[in-house]
Amino acid sequence: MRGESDFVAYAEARVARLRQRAYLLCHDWHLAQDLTQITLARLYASWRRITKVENIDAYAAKVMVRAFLDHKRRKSSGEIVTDSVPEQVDASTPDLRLTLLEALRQLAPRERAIVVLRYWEDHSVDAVAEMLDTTPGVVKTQSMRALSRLRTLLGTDMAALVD
Amino acid sequence: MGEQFRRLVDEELSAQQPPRLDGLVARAVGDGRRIRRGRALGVGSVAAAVVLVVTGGALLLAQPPPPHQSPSGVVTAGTDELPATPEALLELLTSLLPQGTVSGHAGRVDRDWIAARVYLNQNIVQISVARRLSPSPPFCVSAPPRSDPTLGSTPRPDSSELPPELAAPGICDLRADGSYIQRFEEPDNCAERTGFDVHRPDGVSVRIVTGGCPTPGGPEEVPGEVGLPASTAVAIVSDSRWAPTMPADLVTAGAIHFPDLPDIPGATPG
Repeated sequence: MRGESDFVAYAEARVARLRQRAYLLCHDWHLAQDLTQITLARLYASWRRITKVENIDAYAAKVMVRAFLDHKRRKSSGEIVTDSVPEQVDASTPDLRLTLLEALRQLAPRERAIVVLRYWEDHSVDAVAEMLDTTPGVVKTQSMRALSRLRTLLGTDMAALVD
Repeated sequence: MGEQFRRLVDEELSAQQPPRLDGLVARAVGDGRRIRRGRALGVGSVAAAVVLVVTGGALLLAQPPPPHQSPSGVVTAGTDELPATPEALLELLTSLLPQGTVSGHAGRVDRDWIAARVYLNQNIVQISVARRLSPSPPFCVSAPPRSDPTLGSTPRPDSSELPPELAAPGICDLRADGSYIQRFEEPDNCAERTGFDVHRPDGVSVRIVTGGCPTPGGPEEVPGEVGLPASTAVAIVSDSRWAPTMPADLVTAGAIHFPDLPDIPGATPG
């Protein structure tokens, strides 16, 4: 069926990027693989309808972020136990500085999703609000809170990074 | 807007070493077909079938689990089963371990998984049972044919008696009962560095950990020949009794033998 070949072409072209987004959300490559598989499965299941959507990528982002937040709601823990992430660091000491990925990991899941969608994927505030089923005002507030937290963690002028 | 942020994130992502993507799209297509079929039958989404509920420290399925089949083909009766507990996992685990000094008994139950840990001759052995998010086995790389002469040429010291697929992490071996078994190695995961995963067709994944870092308050791990042999680990993780519900006699005996079971040290609080 032509729809299936279209889907496979779309999925093959996007799978690596989708998995990167999933990793930024959950910081676990195995769970990222699972989230990517779930996202693509749901896209496949509704592919005929989705192809009429103007922006399939935005739709896929919405599916993935909601799957991630649902997963976090169901599973209050499940972060992999690791000995590699420092809890508190002195940002003025370069050798102990957190990486951006590690700092992202320390955000709340919803704030992390907003930062990833807004600043890594460059979705508009309105688009992010629609993906998260919330209002643009909430997205703006949570964005500012998340950037402030990143600034504290990284000791970096986040405004310079995202403006 | 955010160019520098994107560049920094992309740089850090490029330094990561993710598992291979092999077959992910094909598995998603398979899952997608199942979702479509489920909708057509009015069953609901695949995700709904794997939702777990925690009640009273026990792992329960939102829907009654299907009876599972032992390798010998004997179907275990659902009426004689109870929600699994860490104590029940320990009861079964200690009955399956080879002779040795067993210490450091601990357990943990979470919403999506349940686990028990002991140290055999001061080497970690941990078993955990979970429901998969997706119905297909995740992150499985298809095993090359067993006749591939390049496989098994450099077997690991403790795995020479295993199928060559299991000598390399990340490759899944499909077994006659429809389950996949896979050796894993996660150098960045202090608690679970190495062991085996079994992904069963009923949606249950069982993991046995045979290598991890020493944990605060736990015995020091001593790597070497005194740990669990790989073939024994595979036999243990393949036992069909590992499930979200377990035989009632194991649950009862576990509660008697392991009262006041401590939490697994080092695990993230639920």
